[in-house]
Amino acid sequence: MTPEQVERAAKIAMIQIGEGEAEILAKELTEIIDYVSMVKDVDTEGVPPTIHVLPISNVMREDEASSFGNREGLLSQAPETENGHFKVPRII
Amino acid sequence: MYDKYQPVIGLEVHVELKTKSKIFCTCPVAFGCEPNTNVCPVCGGLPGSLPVLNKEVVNMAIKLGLAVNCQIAEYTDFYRKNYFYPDLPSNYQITQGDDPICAKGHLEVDTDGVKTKVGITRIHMEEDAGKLVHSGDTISTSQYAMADFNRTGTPLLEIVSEPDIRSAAEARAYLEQLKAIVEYLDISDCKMEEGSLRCDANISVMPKGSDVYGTRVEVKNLNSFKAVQKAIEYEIYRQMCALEDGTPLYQETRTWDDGKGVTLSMRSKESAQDYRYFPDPNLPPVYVSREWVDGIRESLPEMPKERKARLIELGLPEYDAKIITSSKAMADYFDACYEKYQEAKAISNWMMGDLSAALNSAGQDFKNSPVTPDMLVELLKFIADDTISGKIAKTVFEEAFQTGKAPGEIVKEKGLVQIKDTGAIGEMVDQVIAANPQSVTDYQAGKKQAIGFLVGQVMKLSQGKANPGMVNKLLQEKLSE
Repeated sequence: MTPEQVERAAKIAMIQIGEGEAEILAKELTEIIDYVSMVKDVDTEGVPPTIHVLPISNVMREDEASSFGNREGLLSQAPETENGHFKVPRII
Repeated sequence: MYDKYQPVIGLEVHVELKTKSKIFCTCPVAFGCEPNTNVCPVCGGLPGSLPVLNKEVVNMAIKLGLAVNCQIAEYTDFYRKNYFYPDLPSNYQITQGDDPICAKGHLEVDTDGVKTKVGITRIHMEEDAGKLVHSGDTISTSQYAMADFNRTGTPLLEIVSEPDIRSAAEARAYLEQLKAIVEYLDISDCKMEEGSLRCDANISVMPKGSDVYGTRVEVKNLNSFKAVQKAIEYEIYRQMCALEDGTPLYQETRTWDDGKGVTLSMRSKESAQDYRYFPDPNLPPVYVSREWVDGIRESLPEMPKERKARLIELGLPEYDAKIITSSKAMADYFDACYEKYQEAKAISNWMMGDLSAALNSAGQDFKNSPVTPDMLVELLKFIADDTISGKIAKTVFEEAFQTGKAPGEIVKEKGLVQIKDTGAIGEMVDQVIAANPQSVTDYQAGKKQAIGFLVGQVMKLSQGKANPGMVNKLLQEKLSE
Protein backbone atom coordinates (compact mmCIF):
# COMPACT_ATOMS: atom_id res chain seq x y z
CA MET A 1 0.00 0.00 0.00
CA THR A 2 1.39 3.39 -0.97
CA PRO A 3 1.32 6.57 1.17
CA GLU A 4 -0.99 8.07 -1.49
CA GLN A 5 -3.47 5.25 -1.01
CA VAL A 6 -3.33 5.75 2.74
CA GLU A 7 -4.03 9.46 2.30
CA ARG A 8 -6.99 8.76 0.04
CA ALA A 9 -8.40 6.15 2.44
CA ALA A 10 -7.99 8.58 5.32
CA LYS A 11 -9.70 11.33 3.36
CA ILE A 12 -12.81 9.35 2.42
CA ALA A 13 -13.04 7.91 5.95
CA MET A 14 -12.64 11.43 7.37
CA ILE A 15 -9.67 10.46 9.52
CA GLN A 16 -6.98 13.07 10.10
CA ILE A 17 -3.44 11.78 9.88
CA GLY A 18 -0.37 13.69 10.96
CA GLU A 19 2.75 14.77 9.09
CA GLY A 20 4.78 11.76 7.95
CA GLU A 21 2.18 9.32 9.29
CA ALA A 22 1.11 8.16 5.83
CA GLU A 23 4.51 6.54 5.22
CA ILE A 24 4.42 4.69 8.55
CA LEU A 25 0.83 3.58 8.09
CA ALA A 26 1.52 2.47 4.52
CA LYS A 27 4.30 0.19 5.76
CA GLU A 28 2.23 -1.22 8.63
CA LEU A 29 -0.89 -1.71 6.56
CA THR A 30 1.11 -3.46 3.85
CA GLU A 31 2.38 -5.93 6.45
CA ILE A 32 -1.17 -6.59 7.68
CA ILE A 33 -2.49 -7.05 4.16
CA ASP A 34 0.39 -9.43 3.33
CA TYR A 35 -0.40 -11.42 6.46
CA VAL A 36 -4.13 -11.81 5.85
CA SER A 37 -3.48 -12.50 2.15
CA MET A 38 -2.84 -16.10 3.07
CA VAL A 39 -6.62 -16.62 2.93
CA LYS A 40 -6.21 -16.31 -0.83
CA ASP A 41 -4.51 -19.72 -0.81
CA VAL A 42 -7.71 -21.39 0.38
CA ASP A 43 -9.72 -23.11 -2.36
CA THR A 44 -13.11 -21.30 -2.26
CA GLU A 45 -14.49 -22.86 -5.43
CA GLY A 46 -18.25 -23.24 -4.99
CA VAL A 47 -18.30 -21.50 -1.58
CA PRO A 48 -20.73 -18.57 -1.46
CA PRO A 49 -19.34 -15.28 -0.12
CA THR A 50 -19.89 -14.76 3.61
CA ILE A 51 -22.52 -12.08 4.11
CA HIS A 52 -23.11 -12.73 7.78
CA VAL A 53 -20.84 -14.51 10.27
CA LEU A 54 -23.67 -16.35 12.05
CA PRO A 55 -25.79 -19.04 10.37
CA ILE A 56 -28.99 -17.05 10.90
CA SER A 57 -31.44 -15.51 8.43
CA ASN A 58 -34.90 -13.89 8.25
CA VAL A 59 -34.60 -11.92 11.48
CA MET A 60 -37.56 -9.61 11.17
CA ARG A 61 -40.08 -7.83 13.36
CA GLU A 62 -43.77 -7.03 12.91
CA ASP A 63 -44.64 -3.48 11.84
CA GLU A 64 -45.50 -2.00 15.23
CA ALA A 65 -44.52 1.50 16.27
CA SER A 66 -43.34 2.71 19.65
CA SER A 67 -41.48 5.88 20.48
CA PHE A 68 -38.06 6.00 22.12
CA GLY A 69 -39.28 8.93 24.19
CA ASN A 70 -35.97 10.44 25.21
CA ARG A 71 -35.33 13.27 22.84
CA GLU A 72 -33.43 15.28 25.41
CA GLY A 73 -31.13 12.33 26.03
CA LEU A 74 -30.30 12.10 22.32
CA LEU A 75 -29.84 15.83 21.89
CA SER A 76 -27.58 15.96 24.96
CA GLN A 77 -25.04 13.80 23.10
CA ALA A 78 -24.56 16.45 20.40
CA PRO A 79 -21.92 19.18 20.63
CA GLU A 80 -24.52 21.80 19.73
CA THR A 81 -28.31 21.96 19.38
CA GLU A 82 -30.86 24.60 18.48
CA ASN A 83 -34.66 24.46 18.84
CA GLY A 84 -34.72 20.68 19.11
CA HIS A 85 -32.40 20.26 16.11
CA PHE A 86 -28.86 18.99 15.93
CA LYS A 87 -26.70 21.92 14.87
CA VAL A 88 -24.23 20.92 12.16
CA PRO A 89 -21.56 22.82 10.19
CA ARG A 90 -22.53 24.47 6.90
CA ILE A 91 -22.53 22.03 4.03
CA ILE A 92 -20.90 23.81 1.11
CA MET B 1 -32.51 18.85 -35.32
CA TYR B 2 -35.04 16.62 -33.52
CA ASP B 3 -35.11 14.08 -36.35
CA LYS B 4 -31.32 13.67 -36.25
CA TYR B 5 -31.05 12.57 -32.63
CA GLN B 6 -32.42 9.86 -30.38
CA PRO B 7 -32.94 10.67 -26.68
CA VAL B 8 -32.35 7.82 -24.21
CA ILE B 9 -33.96 8.13 -20.78
CA GLY B 10 -34.02 6.04 -17.62
CA LEU B 11 -35.79 6.95 -14.37
CA GLU B 12 -34.89 6.29 -10.76
CA VAL B 13 -37.99 6.59 -8.62
CA HIS B 14 -38.10 6.59 -4.82
CA VAL B 15 -41.33 5.97 -2.94
CA GLU B 16 -41.68 6.39 0.80
CA LEU B 17 -43.61 3.47 2.23
CA LYS B 18 -46.48 4.12 4.59
CA THR B 19 -45.59 1.58 7.22
CA LYS B 20 -46.41 2.31 10.86
CA SER B 21 -42.77 2.07 11.94
CA LYS B 22 -39.39 2.72 10.35
CA ILE B 23 -37.47 0.11 8.36
CA PHE B 24 -34.94 -0.91 11.04
CA CYS B 25 -36.40 0.39 14.31
CA THR B 26 -39.81 0.91 15.94
CA CYS B 27 -39.88 4.71 15.68
CA PRO B 28 -43.19 5.86 14.17
CA VAL B 29 -43.26 6.94 10.51
CA ALA B 30 -45.09 10.26 10.78
CA PHE B 31 -45.00 13.70 9.18
CA GLY B 32 -45.17 17.15 10.66
CA CYS B 33 -43.98 16.16 14.17
CA GLU B 34 -41.74 18.25 16.41
CA PRO B 35 -38.11 17.83 15.25
CA ASN B 36 -36.26 14.75 16.50
CA THR B 37 -39.24 13.32 18.40
CA ASN B 38 -39.31 10.13 16.29
CA VAL B 39 -35.67 9.26 16.75
CA CYS B 40 -34.00 6.47 18.73
CA PRO B 41 -30.42 5.16 19.08
CA VAL B 42 -30.88 2.98 15.94
CA CYS B 43 -32.04 5.60 13.44
CA GLY B 44 -29.98 8.18 15.33
CA GLY B 45 -26.90 6.22 14.29
CA LEU B 46 -25.52 5.66 17.79
CA PRO B 47 -22.70 3.08 17.98
CA GLY B 48 -23.76 -0.26 19.43
CA SER B 49 -27.41 0.00 18.41
CA LEU B 50 -28.76 -2.83 16.28
CA PRO B 51 -31.18 -2.62 13.33
CA VAL B 52 -33.99 -5.18 12.96
CA LEU B 53 -35.79 -5.39 9.61
CA ASN B 54 -39.49 -4.48 9.44
CA LYS B 55 -41.22 -7.43 7.71
CA GLU B 56 -43.92 -5.19 6.24
CA VAL B 57 -41.29 -3.39 4.14
CA VAL B 58 -40.41 -6.71 2.49
CA ASN B 59 -44.11 -7.46 1.98
CA MET B 60 -44.66 -4.11 0.28
CA ALA B 61 -41.56 -4.54 -1.91
CA ILE B 62 -42.83 -7.96 -3.05
CA LYS B 63 -46.29 -6.47 -3.78
CA LEU B 64 -44.82 -3.82 -6.02
CA GLY B 65 -42.44 -6.30 -7.64
CA LEU B 66 -45.32 -8.61 -8.56
CA ALA B 67 -47.43 -5.70 -9.84
CA VAL B 68 -44.68 -4.66 -12.28
CA ASN B 69 -43.86 -8.19 -13.46
CA CYS B 70 -40.57 -8.55 -11.56
CA GLN B 71 -38.82 -11.71 -10.48
CA ILE B 72 -38.82 -11.89 -6.70
CA ALA B 73 -35.43 -12.88 -5.29
CA GLU B 74 -35.19 -16.10 -3.31
CA TYR B 75 -32.22 -14.60 -1.51
CA THR B 76 -31.71 -10.94 -0.63
CA ASP B 77 -29.42 -8.97 1.69
CA PHE B 78 -28.46 -5.46 2.84
CA TYR B 79 -25.40 -3.34 2.13
CA ARG B 80 -23.94 -0.18 3.58
CA LYS B 81 -23.36 2.77 1.27
CA ASN B 82 -20.78 4.92 3.03
CA TYR B 83 -20.68 8.70 2.75
CA PHE B 84 -20.58 11.69 5.04
CA TYR B 85 -23.46 14.10 5.00
CA PRO B 86 -25.10 15.73 8.02
CA ASP B 87 -28.58 14.34 7.22
CA LEU B 88 -27.23 10.80 7.68
CA PRO B 89 -26.30 10.28 11.34
CA SER B 90 -24.73 6.80 10.95
CA ASN B 91 -22.56 8.01 8.02
CA TYR B 92 -23.88 5.18 5.90
CA GLN B 93 -27.18 4.43 4.25
CA ILE B 94 -28.45 0.88 4.56
CA THR B 95 -29.50 -0.18 1.06
CA GLN B 96 -29.19 -3.28 -1.11
CA GLY B 97 -26.36 -4.53 -3.32
CA ASP B 98 -26.29 -7.06 -6.13
CA ASP B 99 -29.17 -9.09 -4.70
CA PRO B 100 -32.15 -6.70 -4.57
CA ILE B 101 -35.57 -7.98 -3.55
CA CYS B 102 -37.00 -7.57 -7.09
CA ALA B 103 -35.44 -7.50 -10.56
CA LYS B 104 -36.18 -7.82 -14.28
CA GLY B 105 -39.69 -6.44 -14.47
CA HIS B 106 -41.49 -4.20 -16.92
CA LEU B 107 -44.34 -1.77 -17.20
CA GLU B 108 -46.59 -1.42 -20.20
CA VAL B 109 -46.81 2.31 -20.84
CA ASP B 110 -49.54 4.12 -22.75
CA THR B 111 -48.30 7.49 -24.03
CA ASP B 112 -51.25 9.25 -25.69
CA GLY B 113 -52.44 5.94 -27.14
CA VAL B 114 -48.99 4.67 -28.17
CA LYS B 115 -48.14 1.55 -26.20
CA THR B 116 -44.55 0.72 -25.23
CA LYS B 117 -42.85 -1.59 -22.76
CA VAL B 118 -40.37 -0.07 -20.29
CA GLY B 119 -38.05 -2.48 -18.52
CA ILE B 120 -37.54 -2.29 -14.76
CA THR B 121 -33.98 -3.22 -13.85
CA ARG B 122 -34.52 -3.60 -10.12
CA ILE B 123 -36.47 -2.57 -7.04
CA HIS B 124 -34.59 -2.39 -3.78
CA MET B 125 -35.30 -1.50 -0.15
CA GLU B 126 -33.39 1.22 1.67
CA GLU B 127 -33.66 3.84 4.38
CA ASP B 128 -34.41 7.52 3.90
CA ALA B 129 -32.13 10.28 5.24
CA GLY B 130 -33.11 13.11 7.58
CA LYS B 131 -33.95 16.69 6.76
CA LEU B 132 -31.68 19.72 6.98
CA VAL B 133 -32.82 23.26 7.59
CA HIS B 134 -30.21 25.76 6.49
CA SER B 135 -29.65 28.97 8.37
CA GLY B 136 -29.70 32.14 6.31
CA ASP B 137 -31.43 32.68 3.01
CA THR B 138 -29.66 30.22 0.73
CA ILE B 139 -27.57 27.10 1.11
CA SER B 140 -24.45 28.94 -0.10
CA THR B 141 -24.72 31.85 2.34
CA SER B 142 -25.78 29.77 5.36
CA GLN B 143 -23.53 29.69 8.43
CA TYR B 144 -24.74 26.33 9.71
CA ALA B 145 -27.56 23.83 9.30
CA MET B 146 -30.03 22.20 11.67
CA ALA B 147 -30.69 18.48 11.39
CA ASP B 148 -34.04 16.79 12.07
CA PHE B 149 -33.79 12.99 11.99
CA ASN B 150 -37.53 12.21 12.16
CA ARG B 151 -37.45 11.04 8.53
CA THR B 152 -34.19 9.08 8.92
CA GLY B 153 -34.95 5.40 8.58
CA THR B 154 -38.30 5.83 6.81
CA PRO B 155 -38.55 2.86 4.43
CA LEU B 156 -38.02 3.58 0.75
CA LEU B 157 -38.35 1.52 -2.38
CA GLU B 158 -36.14 2.59 -5.26
CA ILE B 159 -37.44 1.57 -8.67
CA VAL B 160 -34.78 1.73 -11.38
CA SER B 161 -35.93 1.58 -15.00
CA GLU B 162 -33.94 0.40 -17.99
CA PRO B 163 -32.87 3.17 -20.40
CA ASP B 164 -35.90 2.23 -22.53
CA ILE B 165 -37.71 5.57 -22.49
CA ARG B 166 -37.44 7.66 -25.65
CA SER B 167 -39.28 10.92 -24.94
CA ALA B 168 -40.23 13.28 -22.14
CA ALA B 169 -43.92 12.45 -22.63
CA GLU B 170 -43.18 8.72 -22.33
CA ALA B 171 -41.18 9.38 -19.13
CA ARG B 172 -44.13 11.21 -17.65
CA ALA B 173 -46.57 8.48 -18.69
CA TYR B 174 -44.30 5.81 -17.15
CA LEU B 175 -44.13 7.77 -13.89
CA GLU B 176 -47.88 8.37 -13.78
CA GLN B 177 -48.63 4.71 -14.39
CA LEU B 178 -46.09 3.61 -11.79
CA LYS B 179 -47.67 6.03 -9.33
CA ALA B 180 -51.15 4.65 -10.05
CA ILE B 181 -49.89 1.12 -9.33
CA VAL B 182 -48.27 2.18 -6.06
CA GLU B 183 -51.50 3.95 -5.09
CA TYR B 184 -53.62 0.92 -5.92
CA LEU B 185 -51.32 -1.23 -3.77
CA ASP B 186 -51.82 1.33 -0.99
CA ILE B 187 -48.15 1.23 0.01
CA SER B 188 -47.32 4.96 -0.29
CA ASP B 189 -49.02 8.35 -0.33
CA CYS B 190 -47.21 9.16 -3.58
CA LYS B 191 -47.20 12.92 -3.17
CA MET B 192 -44.43 14.39 -5.29
CA GLU B 193 -44.89 17.83 -3.75
CA GLU B 194 -44.35 16.40 -0.27
CA GLY B 195 -41.48 14.16 -1.29
CA SER B 196 -43.14 10.78 -0.72
CA LEU B 197 -42.62 10.13 -4.46
CA ARG B 198 -39.31 11.33 -5.92
CA CYS B 199 -37.85 10.99 -9.36
CA ASP B 200 -34.38 11.44 -10.83
CA ALA B 201 -33.89 11.20 -14.58
CA ASN B 202 -30.86 9.91 -16.48
CA ILE B 203 -30.79 11.47 -19.93
CA SER B 204 -28.50 11.16 -22.92
CA VAL B 205 -28.81 11.83 -26.64
CA MET B 206 -27.23 9.93 -29.52
CA PRO B 207 -27.40 10.22 -33.32
CA LYS B 208 -30.35 8.27 -34.75
CA GLY B 209 -29.37 4.76 -35.73
CA SER B 210 -26.39 4.70 -33.37
CA ASP B 211 -26.13 2.01 -30.74
CA VAL B 212 -23.58 3.87 -28.60
CA TYR B 213 -25.21 5.92 -25.86
CA GLY B 214 -24.21 9.57 -25.49
CA THR B 215 -22.86 11.23 -22.35
CA ARG B 216 -25.30 10.64 -19.53
CA VAL B 217 -26.59 13.44 -17.33
CA GLU B 218 -28.57 12.92 -14.14
CA VAL B 219 -31.26 15.49 -13.36
CA LYS B 220 -32.53 15.93 -9.81
CA ASN B 221 -35.04 18.11 -7.98
CA LEU B 222 -38.06 17.10 -10.05
CA ASN B 223 -40.96 17.91 -7.74
CA SER B 224 -43.97 17.40 -9.99
CA PHE B 225 -45.01 15.37 -13.02
CA LYS B 226 -44.91 18.54 -15.05
CA ALA B 227 -41.35 19.25 -13.85
CA VAL B 228 -40.27 15.74 -14.91
CA GLN B 229 -41.56 16.31 -18.42
CA LYS B 230 -40.28 19.89 -18.76
CA ALA B 231 -36.83 19.12 -17.35
CA ILE B 232 -36.38 16.17 -19.70
CA GLU B 233 -37.56 18.23 -22.68
CA TYR B 234 -35.10 20.95 -21.75
CA GLU B 235 -32.21 18.55 -21.20
CA ILE B 236 -32.79 16.77 -24.53
CA TYR B 237 -32.77 20.15 -26.27
CA ARG B 238 -29.62 21.31 -24.42
CA GLN B 239 -27.73 18.13 -25.28
CA MET B 240 -28.78 18.17 -28.94
CA CYS B 241 -27.64 21.79 -29.24
CA ALA B 242 -24.27 20.86 -27.68
CA LEU B 243 -23.85 18.00 -30.15
CA GLU B 244 -24.74 20.30 -33.04
CA ASP B 245 -22.27 23.01 -31.91
CA GLY B 246 -19.56 20.57 -30.93
CA THR B 247 -19.63 21.86 -27.34
CA PRO B 248 -18.46 19.15 -24.95
CA LEU B 249 -20.99 17.41 -22.66
CA TYR B 250 -19.97 16.19 -19.22
CA GLN B 251 -21.20 13.27 -17.20
CA GLU B 252 -22.64 15.20 -14.29
CA THR B 253 -25.56 15.80 -11.96
CA ARG B 254 -27.77 18.75 -12.78
CA THR B 255 -30.63 20.29 -10.85
CA TRP B 256 -33.92 21.48 -12.34
CA ASP B 257 -34.73 25.12 -11.70
CA ASP B 258 -38.50 25.19 -12.09
CA GLY B 259 -38.74 28.99 -11.99
CA LYS B 260 -36.22 29.55 -14.77
CA GLY B 261 -37.13 26.37 -16.66
CA VAL B 262 -33.50 25.25 -17.01
CA THR B 263 -31.16 22.58 -15.60
CA LEU B 264 -28.04 23.77 -13.76
CA SER B 265 -24.81 21.90 -13.08
CA MET B 266 -24.49 20.67 -9.47
CA ARG B 267 -21.27 18.70 -9.36
CA SER B 268 -19.13 16.82 -11.78
CA LYS B 269 -19.19 13.05 -11.61
CA GLU B 270 -15.59 12.82 -12.83
CA SER B 271 -14.36 12.49 -9.25
CA ALA B 272 -16.84 9.65 -8.78
CA GLN B 273 -17.74 9.06 -5.13
CA ASP B 274 -16.30 5.95 -3.58
CA TYR B 275 -19.19 4.63 -1.50
CA ARG B 276 -17.26 1.55 -0.31
CA TYR B 277 -20.31 -0.71 -0.39
CA PHE B 278 -20.08 -3.75 1.87
CA PRO B 279 -22.63 -6.14 3.42
CA ASP B 280 -24.13 -4.79 6.64
CA PRO B 281 -22.85 -7.18 9.33
CA ASN B 282 -25.77 -6.28 11.61
CA LEU B 283 -28.42 -7.56 9.22
CA PRO B 284 -28.66 -11.27 8.42
CA PRO B 285 -29.81 -12.17 4.91
CA VAL B 286 -33.43 -12.86 4.03
CA TYR B 287 -34.61 -15.97 2.19
CA VAL B 288 -37.95 -15.39 0.49
CA SER B 289 -39.94 -18.61 0.26
CA ARG B 290 -42.25 -19.20 -2.70
CA GLU B 291 -45.12 -19.65 -0.21
CA TRP B 292 -44.49 -16.14 1.05
CA VAL B 293 -44.58 -14.75 -2.50
CA ASP B 294 -47.67 -16.78 -3.46
CA GLY B 295 -49.50 -15.55 -0.37
CA ILE B 296 -48.85 -11.97 -1.38
CA ARG B 297 -49.78 -12.65 -5.01
CA GLU B 298 -53.17 -13.94 -3.90
CA SER B 299 -53.80 -10.86 -1.79
CA LEU B 300 -52.98 -8.33 -4.53
CA PRO B 301 -55.79 -5.88 -5.22
CA GLU B 302 -57.13 -5.21 -8.71
CA MET B 303 -54.53 -3.22 -10.70
CA PRO B 304 -55.26 -0.20 -12.96
CA LYS B 305 -55.09 -2.27 -16.14
CA GLU B 306 -57.63 -4.86 -14.95
CA ARG B 307 -59.82 -2.20 -13.45
CA LYS B 308 -59.87 -0.29 -16.71
CA ALA B 309 -60.87 -3.45 -18.59
CA ARG B 310 -63.67 -4.05 -16.08
CA LEU B 311 -65.02 -0.50 -16.48
CA ILE B 312 -65.04 -0.91 -20.26
CA GLU B 313 -67.09 -4.07 -19.78
CA LEU B 314 -69.57 -2.08 -17.69
CA GLY B 315 -70.14 0.08 -20.76
CA LEU B 316 -67.66 2.95 -20.43
CA PRO B 317 -65.75 4.21 -23.46
CA GLU B 318 -61.99 3.50 -23.25
CA TYR B 319 -61.22 7.18 -22.74
CA ASP B 320 -63.51 7.46 -19.70
CA ALA B 321 -62.16 4.22 -18.25
CA LYS B 322 -58.58 5.44 -18.63
CA ILE B 323 -59.24 8.78 -16.91
CA ILE B 324 -61.22 7.22 -14.07
CA THR B 325 -58.69 4.47 -13.33
CA SER B 326 -55.69 6.82 -13.46
CA SER B 327 -56.33 7.61 -9.80
CA LYS B 328 -57.41 5.05 -7.25
CA ALA B 329 -59.54 7.58 -5.38
CA MET B 330 -61.48 8.34 -8.59
CA ALA B 331 -61.89 4.67 -9.45
CA ASP B 332 -63.12 3.90 -5.93
CA TYR B 333 -65.61 6.77 -6.21
CA PHE B 334 -66.91 5.36 -9.48
CA ASP B 335 -67.31 1.89 -8.01
CA ALA B 336 -69.14 3.28 -4.98
CA CYS B 337 -71.62 5.01 -7.33
CA TYR B 338 -72.00 2.06 -9.66
CA GLU B 339 -72.80 -0.25 -6.79
CA LYS B 340 -75.98 1.76 -6.18
CA TYR B 341 -76.77 2.90 -9.70
CA GLN B 342 -75.86 0.92 -12.81
CA GLU B 343 -75.64 3.73 -15.36
CA ALA B 344 -71.88 3.79 -15.96
CA LYS B 345 -71.82 6.54 -18.56
CA ALA B 346 -74.07 8.90 -16.59
CA ILE B 347 -71.77 8.48 -13.58
CA SER B 348 -68.57 9.04 -15.56
CA ASN B 349 -70.01 12.11 -17.32
CA TRP B 350 -70.71 13.83 -14.02
CA MET B 351 -67.44 12.65 -12.44
CA MET B 352 -65.29 13.84 -15.32
CA GLY B 353 -67.31 17.02 -15.85
CA ASP B 354 -68.94 19.02 -13.06
CA LEU B 355 -67.49 17.03 -10.15
CA SER B 356 -63.86 17.10 -11.37
CA ALA B 357 -64.12 20.81 -12.13
CA ALA B 358 -65.59 21.59 -8.72
CA LEU B 359 -62.98 19.48 -6.91
CA ASN B 360 -60.14 21.08 -8.85
CA SER B 361 -61.19 24.62 -8.13
CA ALA B 362 -61.75 23.78 -4.46
CA GLY B 363 -58.34 22.06 -4.28
CA GLN B 364 -59.94 18.81 -3.13
CA ASP B 365 -59.91 15.27 -4.46
CA PHE B 366 -62.31 12.36 -4.87
CA LYS B 367 -61.27 10.84 -1.57
CA ASN B 368 -62.91 13.61 0.45
CA SER B 369 -65.40 15.00 -2.05
CA PRO B 370 -68.15 17.06 -0.39
CA VAL B 371 -70.56 15.43 -2.84
CA THR B 372 -70.38 11.79 -1.78
CA PRO B 373 -71.13 8.87 -4.14
CA ASP B 374 -74.53 8.52 -2.41
CA MET B 375 -75.34 12.15 -3.12
CA LEU B 376 -74.26 11.94 -6.76
CA VAL B 377 -76.38 8.81 -7.27
CA GLU B 378 -79.39 10.54 -5.71
CA LEU B 379 -78.92 13.42 -8.13
CA LEU B 380 -78.55 11.10 -11.13
CA LYS B 381 -81.74 9.27 -10.20
CA PHE B 382 -83.64 12.56 -9.98
CA ILE B 383 -82.53 13.38 -13.52
CA ALA B 384 -83.31 9.91 -14.82
CA ASP B 385 -86.86 9.85 -13.46
CA ASP B 386 -87.52 13.45 -14.54
CA THR B 387 -87.90 14.74 -10.98
CA ILE B 388 -85.62 17.58 -12.01
CA SER B 389 -84.33 18.81 -15.35
CA GLY B 390 -80.67 18.59 -16.36
CA LYS B 391 -80.35 22.33 -15.99
CA ILE B 392 -81.80 22.40 -12.49
CA ALA B 393 -79.53 19.44 -11.65
CA LYS B 394 -76.47 21.63 -12.13
CA THR B 395 -77.84 24.16 -9.64
CA VAL B 396 -78.61 21.39 -7.16
CA PHE B 397 -75.12 19.96 -7.63
CA GLU B 398 -73.46 23.30 -6.91
CA GLU B 399 -75.56 23.78 -3.82
CA ALA B 400 -74.78 20.26 -2.63
CA PHE B 401 -71.06 20.78 -3.22
CA GLN B 402 -71.05 24.03 -1.25
CA THR B 403 -73.24 22.96 1.65
CA GLY B 404 -72.92 19.18 1.78
CA LYS B 405 -76.72 18.93 1.84
CA ALA B 406 -78.38 15.94 0.19
CA PRO B 407 -79.84 16.68 -3.28
CA GLY B 408 -83.27 15.50 -2.11
CA GLU B 409 -83.25 18.04 0.67
CA ILE B 410 -82.20 20.85 -1.67
CA VAL B 411 -84.85 19.97 -4.24
CA LYS B 412 -87.52 19.94 -1.53
CA GLU B 413 -86.35 23.11 0.20
CA LYS B 414 -86.18 25.15 -2.97
CA GLY B 415 -89.24 23.60 -4.59
CA LEU B 416 -87.24 22.54 -7.62
CA VAL B 417 -89.29 19.43 -8.40
CA GLN B 418 -90.11 19.31 -12.08
CA ILE B 419 -93.73 19.99 -12.95
CA LYS B 420 -95.15 17.00 -14.80
CA ASP B 421 -98.79 17.55 -14.07
CA THR B 422 -100.68 17.88 -17.39
CA GLY B 423 -103.28 20.13 -15.83
CA ALA B 424 -100.74 22.59 -14.37
CA ILE B 425 -98.67 22.73 -17.53
CA GLY B 426 -101.84 23.01 -19.61
CA GLU B 427 -102.87 26.11 -17.67
CA MET B 428 -99.49 27.74 -18.29
CA VAL B 429 -99.67 26.82 -21.97
CA ASP B 430 -103.11 28.44 -22.21
CA GLN B 431 -101.78 31.62 -20.56
CA VAL B 432 -98.84 31.82 -22.96
CA ILE B 433 -101.06 31.21 -26.02
CA ALA B 434 -103.40 33.95 -24.89
CA ALA B 435 -100.57 36.40 -24.31
CA ASN B 436 -98.76 35.79 -27.63
CA PRO B 437 -101.32 35.89 -30.46
CA GLN B 438 -98.73 36.88 -33.08
CA SER B 439 -96.56 33.79 -32.48
CA VAL B 440 -99.67 31.62 -32.54
CA THR B 441 -100.69 33.07 -35.89
CA ASP B 442 -97.15 32.60 -37.25
CA TYR B 443 -97.13 28.96 -36.16
CA GLN B 444 -100.50 28.24 -37.65
CA ALA B 445 -99.39 29.93 -40.89
CA GLY B 446 -96.61 27.36 -41.21
CA LYS B 447 -93.74 29.04 -39.36
CA LYS B 448 -93.07 25.99 -37.26
CA GLN B 449 -90.05 27.51 -35.53
CA ALA B 450 -92.34 29.93 -33.70
CA ILE B 451 -93.06 27.11 -31.26
CA GLY B 452 -89.55 27.48 -29.82
CA PHE B 453 -90.40 30.95 -28.56
CA LEU B 454 -93.63 29.72 -27.02
CA VAL B 455 -91.93 26.81 -25.26
CA GLY B 456 -89.41 29.29 -23.86
CA GLN B 457 -92.24 31.47 -22.53
CA VAL B 458 -93.86 28.52 -20.76
CA MET B 459 -90.52 27.49 -19.23
CA LYS B 460 -89.99 31.03 -18.02
CA LEU B 461 -93.44 31.12 -16.50
CA SER B 462 -92.70 27.84 -14.64
CA GLN B 463 -89.31 29.14 -13.43
CA GLY B 464 -87.59 26.37 -15.35
CA LYS B 465 -89.51 23.64 -13.56
CA ALA B 466 -91.91 22.47 -16.26
CA ASN B 467 -90.95 19.29 -18.10
CA PRO B 468 -89.85 20.64 -21.52
CA GLY B 469 -91.01 17.55 -23.42
CA MET B 470 -94.51 17.85 -22.02
CA VAL B 471 -94.62 21.59 -22.68
CA ASN B 472 -93.73 20.97 -26.30
CA LYS B 473 -96.31 18.22 -26.73
CA LEU B 474 -99.13 20.19 -25.07
CA LEU B 475 -98.37 23.31 -27.08
CA GLN B 476 -98.48 21.38 -30.35
CA GLU B 477 -101.76 19.76 -29.39
CA LYS B 478 -103.40 23.01 -28.36
CA LEU B 479 -102.14 24.93 -31.38
CA SER B 480 -103.50 22.29 -33.75
CA GLU B 481 -106.98 22.41 -32.18
